[in-house]
Amino acid sequence: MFGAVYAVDEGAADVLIDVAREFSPRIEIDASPARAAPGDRSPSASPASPQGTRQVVLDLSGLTRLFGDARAMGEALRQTAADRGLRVQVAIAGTRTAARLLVRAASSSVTVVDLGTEAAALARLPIQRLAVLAPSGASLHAPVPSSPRVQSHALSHDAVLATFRRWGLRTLGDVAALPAAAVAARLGQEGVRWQRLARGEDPRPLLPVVQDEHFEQALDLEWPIEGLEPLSFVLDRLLDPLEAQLDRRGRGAAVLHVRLHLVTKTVHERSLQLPAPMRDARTLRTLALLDLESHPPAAAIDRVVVAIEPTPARVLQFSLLTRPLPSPDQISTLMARLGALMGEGRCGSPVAVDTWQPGAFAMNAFAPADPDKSQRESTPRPRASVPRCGVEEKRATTCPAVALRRFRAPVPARVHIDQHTPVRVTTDRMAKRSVCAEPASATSGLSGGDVQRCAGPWRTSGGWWTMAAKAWDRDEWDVTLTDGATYRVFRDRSTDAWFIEGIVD
Amino acid sequence: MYIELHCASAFSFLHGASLPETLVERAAALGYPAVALLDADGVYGAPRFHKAAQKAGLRAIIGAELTIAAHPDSGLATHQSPVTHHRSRLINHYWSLPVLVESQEGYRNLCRLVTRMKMRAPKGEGALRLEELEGWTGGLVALGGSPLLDSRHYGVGGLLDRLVGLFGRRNVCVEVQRHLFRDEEAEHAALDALARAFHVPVVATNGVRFAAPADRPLFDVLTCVAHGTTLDAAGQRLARNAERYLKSPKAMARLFADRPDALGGTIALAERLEYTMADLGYRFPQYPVADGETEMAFLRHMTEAGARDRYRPYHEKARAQIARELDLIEKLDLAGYFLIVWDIVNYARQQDILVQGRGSAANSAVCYSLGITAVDPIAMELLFERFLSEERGEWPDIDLDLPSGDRRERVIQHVYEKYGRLGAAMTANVITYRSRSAARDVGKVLSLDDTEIDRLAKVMHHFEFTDPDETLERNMREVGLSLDKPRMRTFTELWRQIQDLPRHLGQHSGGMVICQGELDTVVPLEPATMPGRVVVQWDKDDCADMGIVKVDLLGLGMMAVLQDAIELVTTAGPDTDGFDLAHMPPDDPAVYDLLQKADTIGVFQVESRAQMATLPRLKPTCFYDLVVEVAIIRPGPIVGNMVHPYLNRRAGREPVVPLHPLLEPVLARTLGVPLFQEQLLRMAMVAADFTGGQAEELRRAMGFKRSAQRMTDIEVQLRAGMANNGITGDTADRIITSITAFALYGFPESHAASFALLVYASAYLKVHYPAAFYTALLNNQPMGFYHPASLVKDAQRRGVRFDPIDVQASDWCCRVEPDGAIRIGLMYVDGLRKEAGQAMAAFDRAKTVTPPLLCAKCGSDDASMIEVVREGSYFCNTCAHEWTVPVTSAGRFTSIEDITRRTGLRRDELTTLTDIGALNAFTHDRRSALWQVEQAVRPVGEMFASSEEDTSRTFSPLPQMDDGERLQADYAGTGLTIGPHPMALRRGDMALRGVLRAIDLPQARDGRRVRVAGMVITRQRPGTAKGFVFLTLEDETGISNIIVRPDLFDRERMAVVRQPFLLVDGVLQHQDGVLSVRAERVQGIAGSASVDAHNFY
Repeated sequence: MFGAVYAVDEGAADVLIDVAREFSPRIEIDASPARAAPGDRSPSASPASPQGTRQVVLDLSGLTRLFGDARAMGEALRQTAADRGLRVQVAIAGTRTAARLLVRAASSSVTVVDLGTEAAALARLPIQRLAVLAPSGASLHAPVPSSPRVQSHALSHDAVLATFRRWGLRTLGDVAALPAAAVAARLGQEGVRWQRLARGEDPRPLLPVVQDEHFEQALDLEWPIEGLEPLSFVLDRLLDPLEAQLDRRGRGAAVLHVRLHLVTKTVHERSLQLPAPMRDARTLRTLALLDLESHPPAAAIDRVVVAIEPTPARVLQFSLLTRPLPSPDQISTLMARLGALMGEGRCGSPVAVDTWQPGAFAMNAFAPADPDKSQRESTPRPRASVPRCGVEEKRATTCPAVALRRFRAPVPARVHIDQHTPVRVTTDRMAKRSVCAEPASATSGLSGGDVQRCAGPWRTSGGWWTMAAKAWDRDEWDVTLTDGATYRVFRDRSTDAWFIEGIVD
Repeated sequence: MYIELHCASAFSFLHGASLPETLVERAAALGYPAVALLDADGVYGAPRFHKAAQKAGLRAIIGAELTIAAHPDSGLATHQSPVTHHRSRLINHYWSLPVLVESQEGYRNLCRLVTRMKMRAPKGEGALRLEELEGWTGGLVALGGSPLLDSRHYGVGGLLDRLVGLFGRRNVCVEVQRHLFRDEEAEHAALDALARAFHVPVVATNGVRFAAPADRPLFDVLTCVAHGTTLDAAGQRLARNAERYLKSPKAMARLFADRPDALGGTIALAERLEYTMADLGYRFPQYPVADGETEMAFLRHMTEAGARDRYRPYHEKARAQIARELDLIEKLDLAGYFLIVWDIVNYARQQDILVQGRGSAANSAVCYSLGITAVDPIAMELLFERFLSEERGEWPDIDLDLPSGDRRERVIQHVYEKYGRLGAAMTANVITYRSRSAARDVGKVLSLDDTEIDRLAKVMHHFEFTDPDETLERNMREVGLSLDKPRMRTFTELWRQIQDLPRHLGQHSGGMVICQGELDTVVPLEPATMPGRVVVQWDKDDCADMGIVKVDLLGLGMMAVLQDAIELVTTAGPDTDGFDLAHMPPDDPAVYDLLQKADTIGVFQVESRAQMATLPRLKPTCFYDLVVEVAIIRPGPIVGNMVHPYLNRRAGREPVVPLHPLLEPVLARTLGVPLFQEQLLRMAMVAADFTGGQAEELRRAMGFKRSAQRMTDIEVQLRAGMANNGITGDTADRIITSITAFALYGFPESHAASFALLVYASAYLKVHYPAAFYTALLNNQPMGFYHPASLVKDAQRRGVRFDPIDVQASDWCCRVEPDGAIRIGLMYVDGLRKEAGQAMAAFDRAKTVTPPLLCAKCGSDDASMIEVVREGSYFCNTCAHEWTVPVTSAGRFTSIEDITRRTGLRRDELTTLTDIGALNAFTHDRRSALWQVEQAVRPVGEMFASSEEDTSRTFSPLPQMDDGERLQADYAGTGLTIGPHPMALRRGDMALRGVLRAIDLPQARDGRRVRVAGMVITRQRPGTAKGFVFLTLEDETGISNIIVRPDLFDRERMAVVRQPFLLVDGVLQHQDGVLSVRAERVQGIAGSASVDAHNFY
């Protein structure tokens, strides 16, 4: 005997499942059509996911001594749900299919069908009701025939239902009444299966749901704590049992969530995407603390919750022939430390970007390449889109190979112009403020002076469609001053301001 | 001084951002004496450039950038010049060679080279190899730029050496450009060294891509469109700066101040380039005539012979007119042109292809005599000068209407065959950016998300009607977009700039140019997307501007309908033999009765809602009334407020007063109201003393879509001319309004006359041969104003019977059965593949099976004693017994299994055929057939085949379809039904709700409140109707017209736009026999099945 319980109100999946569990440990959740792909038997696609569930099926066999007959059981289910503030409709029948088809069709809140009379009870239902069986039916497709010829004629459940409609069948009774052999001859096994469903026959036994395991620990603090040091002990206390739990299940952490409930009644939440599955409590604690160093909570903490999204654990097979790289745990920790020191987005590998903007570059996340793989890959080819003067060509021309030490950021300057040409460059800023510029000729700073020789202007502009900060429009000049130093200066055409961009070695 | 020798316009298609006219305008403003246009692989923009330069007093130098393939084996990048840098397709293996035309020979060579390149490659692609230039470089000057430094493919200096060899030392220059790039000076040094080594001059150019620095964003956008990328992702494919604009000579002199040799080289070269496209060397083909005879003499003979056939009797007025026309034709040396058109018409006639000239050719009695046109211009008093005048100095324009589809294609292919693939070509149609395409491309380039782009595309043109208060900002706000966002502001700015810029080259619908000799020396040719078609690089206006003769071979759906209908009529029986368009009885009262009642669904041109509302008011009684009817419901007369005055004057409700006494003779035929383009030209000539040339300019401006400025210029001239004649103030304003209202939508009288002939012919067929007419209409869909379902219902209301689609009997197309019913063709089965349907229709229908004659009573088989009483009924003279033998048709197939096995139809095709009852021949109803089909499509194999009992196959446990289900299946499977109308099934319910049928409305009085309901078959919101929406509802008795006010439309927009069935409460307007319901309340009602309405927004 099976019962189907349908929640009239939305968003009460947890309550519905709790109510069902009070009656039977063997429950199955009806998946909505959107959640289960046809033919998908993977655990993730099984109707075990309770979110949004509005209907469950219970195995009520052997419960009559406990709750009374079927009607009493139905009433008890309805009452229990009502006590929890949930309005439900209940159908109890000899088969799961009949219960599922009837649960939303009946006008009364409890429908009971005697054993063996399922087909008769279903006969009056409109054929459209079969659609509620489509997702679970799809996941239990009849075995696909191996013969290619027959396979080409296999129909999907949609096609079968469409055919029923085209045939003018209006009720499940109409479907059930068709000669089974004739249906098989026309629609194959899929047609027969749907006809059986229309008669209320079960195509398979109930698949009970196994409860999901949560990897979450929380601690309410007696006194609010401030600062990260006391938090470190709290995290230890929460992460140790999580490590053990992950170990037991053979899982690793993919994402670490830390929720800090503050005394201001707000929640400070951080999530860390981990580069590799890990479960070492100390590493996790260090990563969490480093992240919180960069993003500290705004007030004292009075509750700490740590949750982990699990993933299958990493299996490592070390090579005897290559040098082992630092483990992802170590690299993550290092990068987190550097990130905390330098600031977000300021740590990684620099890469050139496809733009005409002078000096533009981007930062990629630091990811050491597999040595085997990197050996296999050839050296990066020069990009066809930048076919400009290469080093060899420069040598072939009159200009010697030079290097530009670029200032970060460009140094504001005053440039005097005569006949559209710079004649004098001065600046108030000292060169040592820049990170890497320390020319041999001017160890103490940028002295400035008259321009002896100059070349330019070299004009670039772009990014006009972006915000003003990202657009550029500038004229570059290379100027050699009287002290012998050669600078690259540029004028921002939008503001008419001059800057020294770098110095040529 | 400086002359820019290297400009590319937007006609480089996405590789230039300014129109040729804009470049010329800026060049003139900057004081250039000459400027050169070099578009990529063609001279697409040259005519417009040439014309604009002529007007601005500049010398237009012509050239092109030729795409050259580098070494075919090379996979490495050539040293790309910035010019070709943006072409990703070409980036590695191709480079660009700019060439300038020095002489006519050079122009011819350029056209030939481009044609050779284009004709062997897919559309939009192609490249030349250097060796192919050999022998075709005369009169061309090559500019070698940075590709000359490509030593990997050509060796050091090798490419310049090759160019010198190909073009001659005198005709090669080294080109240097300064765009303020850091690396270009080293390049210049190398180029200088090469130039010195080969003793060729250096010229300075700027490689212009847009007119002004402000156009650079647009250029970047076009670059992104060309590469299919966004601005954010385009990177170094975008311009490095905005220096590629047309700089002033002074700026260029300053830029190249250190290179006087290069500036001098530019000037010296520009002085040499004298060719300006003034003479293209185009000649129209000569018509072959017998030795000793001239084309003119032959034309005179042919005209004489034709006139004697046309004019019976050949009266003096006709003789005089024809003689006058022939004299002018001889004077203008146009005999060959008329003969060639006559030849094309003759070919069509020989091939049984209906053909009729339209447009201004209908003004010519010679064209009428030669059979080119079908309207007698003398009887119609049409103005010959509108067609041909000595003063105008241009080729006449003859448009030929042909049945659309295969028959028109046959005529086009005939022209290709006759004049050679390089002697004839279609004119191009330059596809320019319009509101929606601009919104989509700009939106994508700016990385707006798809939903935003969709909304923006809709905002730009939701309805044809635009509110005067409508602004882009308001429109955007209505769909949830805001101009406050910077990127949205950028979008709107770019969207405005990109309007009317060419995007790619298409093919004109029917314009063909023909040439004596090789057309590819006059204009480059290229393949069209459509197989077997070749197009020139210019559109029809450019061809006209450059003096190239065009013959329009236009496809007209109604011509196909008329031809098909006539064929059906003439093959139907001996009594209809000889029926053709030329011998239709004129002024048939039944035809005018139909037109006066506006029973015109399916009739050419007068079936629209507005036409149907005018016909009962205009009450046409003669052919000229039809000419007026065709011309009057056009935006021109509507916007010019000429419709109501004409109708009122015609009905005697308003006195006939001309706009001005001077104009009385001009407007006498149209009751003082200007309706035709010819009248407007005459008005200008009479009232403002316009010369013929000025009038012609006015005519061109009317049809000229590119410039409102031209109309403004002409308005100034008109006012000045009228002031001289003392016409000022209100009268002058009214005359100006009359003329400018026609600016875009004027309809020539001759054109209207040609169309009126088709109106009459189609109405005549509808009245007298409805079965043939509707069959032809159904076979030539889509066309016209109404859905096939509405045509079927209209035909049924006229008493035409329809036979259903039947696999045993239906052909692919609809046909008329011997009993006069229309058998719907398999073409209407939704989802049925054409080849499968045609194969099925190709199976012979077996002859009618007649059982052997044998008396049922005495058993006599003596044929001499058995008498046939009527078909299937016999009398035995031996025993005086009369009996009937059922006559059966064997059909094409013996069973459903047979059709499944022999036709290879798919399951979905078979089930659709079954659903619509096309397999009913094998069983008693559709469901029963469906039951059998489902088994027939699942072969069980030999083992089980024999065990199947026949009863299980044929016995169906399924319920029969009811009327509603049949209707639903018909609409779903064919889009039409020959059964009851959906509203007929709901009539009981409707009657209870007080709904009147369409047929009941004429009995109701004007101003009465009525309730009507029906299936919406058309929705219109014309631009000239100030926001009113017009609906046509159809029920089983006819159609009713609904008018929805703008405020009601705003309130009930969803119901009006979406609901397939509507119930409307409103007030009946019954005026001059025109019935319409002014809606006060609109609501959707349920209906079992419907067709999609035709919406005209």
